[in-house]
Amino acid sequence: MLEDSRLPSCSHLPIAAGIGLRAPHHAQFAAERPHVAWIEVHTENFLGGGAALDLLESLRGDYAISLHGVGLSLGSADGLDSAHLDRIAALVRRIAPAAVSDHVSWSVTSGAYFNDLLPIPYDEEALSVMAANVQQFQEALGRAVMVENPSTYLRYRHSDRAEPQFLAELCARTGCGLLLDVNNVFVSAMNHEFDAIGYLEAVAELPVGELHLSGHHLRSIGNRSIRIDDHGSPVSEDVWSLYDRALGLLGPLPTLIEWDSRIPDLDILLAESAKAGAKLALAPPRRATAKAFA
Amino acid sequence: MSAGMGLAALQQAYRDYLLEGRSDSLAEVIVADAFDAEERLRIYRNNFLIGLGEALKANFPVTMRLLGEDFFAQAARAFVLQAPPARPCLFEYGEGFAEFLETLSDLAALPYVAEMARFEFARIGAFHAPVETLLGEAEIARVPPEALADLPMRLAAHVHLLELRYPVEVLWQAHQAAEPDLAALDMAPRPHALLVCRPQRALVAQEIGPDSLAFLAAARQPTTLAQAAEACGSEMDPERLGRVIGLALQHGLLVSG
Repeated sequence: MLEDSRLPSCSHLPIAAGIGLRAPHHAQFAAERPHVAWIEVHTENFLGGGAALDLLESLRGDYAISLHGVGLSLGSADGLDSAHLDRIAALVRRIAPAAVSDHVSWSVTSGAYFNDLLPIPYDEEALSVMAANVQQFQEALGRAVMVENPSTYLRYRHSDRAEPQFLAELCARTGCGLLLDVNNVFVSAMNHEFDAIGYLEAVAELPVGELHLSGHHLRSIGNRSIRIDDHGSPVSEDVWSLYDRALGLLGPLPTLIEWDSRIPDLDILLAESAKAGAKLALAPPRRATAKAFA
Repeated sequence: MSAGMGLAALQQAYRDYLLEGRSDSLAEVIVADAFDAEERLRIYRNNFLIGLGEALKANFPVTMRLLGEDFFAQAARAFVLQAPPARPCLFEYGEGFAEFLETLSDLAALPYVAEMARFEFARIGAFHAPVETLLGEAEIARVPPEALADLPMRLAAHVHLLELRYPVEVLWQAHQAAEPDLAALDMAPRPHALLVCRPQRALVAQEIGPDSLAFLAAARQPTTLAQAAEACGSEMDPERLGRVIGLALQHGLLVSG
């Protein structure tokens, strides 16, 4: 495990591979403390006071923990749900996680939660909304957070800038970091026919504090196909290759294996994270030309 | 290039589309290329409906088994469209699902299914309730006897009281087996009150009598020991009241204030 002084301030995760901890593996973590450098959980699953929270508190001593939100809806024009934000802030105080993140997307409007990472247009208005919401999020927690690039299946006619530029402006305006999901870059690049490596080059200078890897699948619609990000299979060979490129451009970074549907035995997740860990160990140090982060 | 749509209007247009299937205004602002706007939007609508259907399945597993996977999926879809979650914590999702099931006309053969949904929702509510400092015997012992009657108290957040017609808890237990043996179960109506709570680590589901139900139901609102005891009826003798309070202290059903 490398020391983390080269990470931006939004991430105190070890530069090593972790896994997403989901309910089917809770009992195994409670009983066996499997060997993995760090774990990430979905924040929203731990906002009650039940056994899940007891487990997370008990795991604090053995693992660095990342709280990854899926429901704050940072892209909502309505603003953030302050009751939800308060619950997240209380959990963050209790767990003192190594990283806190959510997504560049929206999921709530007029009091309805759609349980999906819906895309926002990449324009000035959405940037202002996202920036204000990210700032409110960071102020509530008293720390910098990371935002994750989404997989998208559509684009808006009124988007007037590319996703990496939007992310760069968001990071610059708010001081937040980027959680770079390599699978999402690949899925969106294939779905919208842009150059995934060019995307990585465009975000290489941003304060990236964590990488995500996961599986996706190809769905046929008529005689065409589209890639769907479902976190339900091993990381594809294409995404492993793109991960190699990301490590070459960005240097080694904390890397998470995510699996959310058709969740396999823990051994399979641990094997995927070991594969990422082996690549991390061989990754060249961050290029000297890259901006140093405070 | 279209003039676009403001973000609030865009999000309202998604609401119209996801809940009601109206895509006209949304489709206009989406780039159509290899796929048209409808095809692209449908991916999101499927994710929305399937994801929340799965969340209901996770929260109501025995209800799902009673209804069968296909019927449950249809009912869940209709419920999601009618009552999407108000909050992003999906372990809380499903308020009103039992009442929704009661409105389905083709469930006459399973009259207890809505009560099963109520029981399962009470279970997850108890399971995820916030941690509170519960009144136990030690706390009560510290109260001067003359102040006991006026002790302010209310029901703890983990406590759920269900008034049921059918023995759904027995049916739920039977369904915990890999191959449930349901032949011996008598599902004839048998009105009773069920206490569902999680005082420590383990969930408790226990039948309670009318005294306990009246006392605990009174404590849904902030009250005092004397007022809650009054709710049990004027002829309540100290011995019966003692049993009720004993139950409340044993399972940590009350908090002060």
